[in-house]
Amino acid sequence: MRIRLLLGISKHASIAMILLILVLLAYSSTSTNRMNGDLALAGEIRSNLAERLIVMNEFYIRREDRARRQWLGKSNLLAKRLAQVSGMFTGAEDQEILLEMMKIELQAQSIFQKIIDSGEELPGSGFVSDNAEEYGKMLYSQLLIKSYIQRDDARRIEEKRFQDLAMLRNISYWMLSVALGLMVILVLVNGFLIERILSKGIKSLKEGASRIGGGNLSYRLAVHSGDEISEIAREINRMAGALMGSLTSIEKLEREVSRRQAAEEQFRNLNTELEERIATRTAQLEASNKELEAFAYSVAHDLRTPLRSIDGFANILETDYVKGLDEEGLRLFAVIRSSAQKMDKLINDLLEVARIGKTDPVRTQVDMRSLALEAFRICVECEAMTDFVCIVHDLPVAMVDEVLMSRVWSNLISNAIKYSIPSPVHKIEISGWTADGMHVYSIRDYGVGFDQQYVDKLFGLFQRLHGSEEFKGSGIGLSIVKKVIGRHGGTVWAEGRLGQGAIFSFSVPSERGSK
Amino acid sequence: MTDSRQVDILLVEDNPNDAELAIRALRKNKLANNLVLVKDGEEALDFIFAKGQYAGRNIDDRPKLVLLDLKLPKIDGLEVLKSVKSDPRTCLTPIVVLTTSKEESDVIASYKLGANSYIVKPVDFDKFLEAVRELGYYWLLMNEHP
Repeated sequence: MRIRLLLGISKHASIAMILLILVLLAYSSTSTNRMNGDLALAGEIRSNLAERLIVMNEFYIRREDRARRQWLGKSNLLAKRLAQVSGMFTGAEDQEILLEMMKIELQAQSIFQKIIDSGEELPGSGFVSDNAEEYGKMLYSQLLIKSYIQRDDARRIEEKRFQDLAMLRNISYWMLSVALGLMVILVLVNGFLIERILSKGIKSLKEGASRIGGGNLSYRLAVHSGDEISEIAREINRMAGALMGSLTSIEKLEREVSRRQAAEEQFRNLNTELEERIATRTAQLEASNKELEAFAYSVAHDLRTPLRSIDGFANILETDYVKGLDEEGLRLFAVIRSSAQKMDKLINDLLEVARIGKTDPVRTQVDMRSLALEAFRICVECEAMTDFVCIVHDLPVAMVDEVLMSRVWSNLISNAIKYSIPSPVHKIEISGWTADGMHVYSIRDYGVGFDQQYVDKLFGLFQRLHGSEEFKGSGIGLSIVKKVIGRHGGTVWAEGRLGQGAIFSFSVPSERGSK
Repeated sequence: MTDSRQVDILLVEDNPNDAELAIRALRKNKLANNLVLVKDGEEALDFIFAKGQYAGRNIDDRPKLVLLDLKLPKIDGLEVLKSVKSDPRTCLTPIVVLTTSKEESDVIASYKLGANSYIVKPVDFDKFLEAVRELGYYWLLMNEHP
């Protein structure tokens, strides 16, 4: 505020001073004009007196009437001027001089009248008495003296005017000088003050700005007075505060970013570690798979060899040495042979379960209905059960491995037939539908059924819910079914009630590739 | 067994029980008249190529049929098959692989190496008899030998 105030003072004071100077100039100009007029008047009076003196001399010498009239005219003019001047020049000294001049004028007029009068007493033609001549000389001398006095007076008045004029001029010069001087001083002082405030303020602003710009955002400029610099300083302080605030939030953001980067890095490391671990495990798994394959191979090969011997030699005994054996002996040989053959079947089934787990299904469009019908036909032939009825509804076509899927159908259908034999109802119903992206197939029988609480044991390897005396089978069939359906990305489930039959269902994805 | 007579069957089998059963099955079908049994792959190659203990044999007296087990000591069956079938002197000898292995890889490898037939020995002796009878009739009686 102070700078603007000072600038305002400078401006207004300068305007005031200029106005004052103008007034002074106008005043001095009019005064000078007036005084010049006065001077001219005084000069006119003085020259009038001088001219009248000349006219008087002429008249004195030549006594001409023209000269007399001129003198009178001049005198009248003089009287008029004097009267005019006495109204104008009111100073005491002027009045005194003027009064004296008027008094002398009266005397001069009366003397000139006397001179005229004496001339008329002595008519012209150059013939004048001595006495009269003397008298004339005396009058003339008197008049001459009076004229000189008047001339001096007029000069004094004129001098006075000169002096007044000079004085006016002096006063005018002096006052103008004072006004100009004051103005200059004011402007200088103001300028100095402004310069001091500005230089100090700018210095502190510059220092503060460079410090804040250099990164020291906690630095604050000193705010002392209420001038504009202080306002700027306050604004800079506020700006630094805001900057510090935003810098703090940027720092927070950067911290957050680096924290996230670290987390991401950690995540990536964990991922890599996990992948390495997966690779290791996969390698281990592959190795153990290989081992298992080798094991299965040797099982297939080596376990069957003694079995073949058992069966073969028992057969030879049975056929070639039948004479030494009674009926019981023959039965026992039959038991040996059937046990050996059952073990062979077990080994074969086990190998098959292993093989299904090893190979990927080869998917093609398979007509499930004809596959099911074919499986039923083969089963019925095997079991020699011609009185069985199989109702196969429309079944959805599926993308599955045909060979594996025919194993599923034949296992489920042969189970259904097997467990229906003791029941009076020899009927199987096969139906299918599509729901939730899965084809579902179910096989219903009206056989002996099973207790639902043991349903979990149905699909386990070698698990049986019925005695092997009652129903033959290795206990592997449903394991194979479960494995095949699992390889296709589907599920198997069963519902049953003792004495009321069972429903076995399985599902496979309705679209290829969707698991 | 190393007489100068024509050999009908060379049986390559290391398991004596299996060998006996096979011979019995052949005899039952009256096919085991001129049969030679060798117990490992090395002996089988010695016999076929007439070297080692069979050096006196004429290599051109080819057996009418070789019954070859795959799992053998010293040199296994597939190598024997490869050696016989890749040699021009012996490549025409009919070889039937007679083994317990049902492994697909073994079946494919055998046929690729030139096996004339591949038979899995069944555990059921009755079925084995049947199988031996059929193959014997085919290779020894029906087949025209070069």
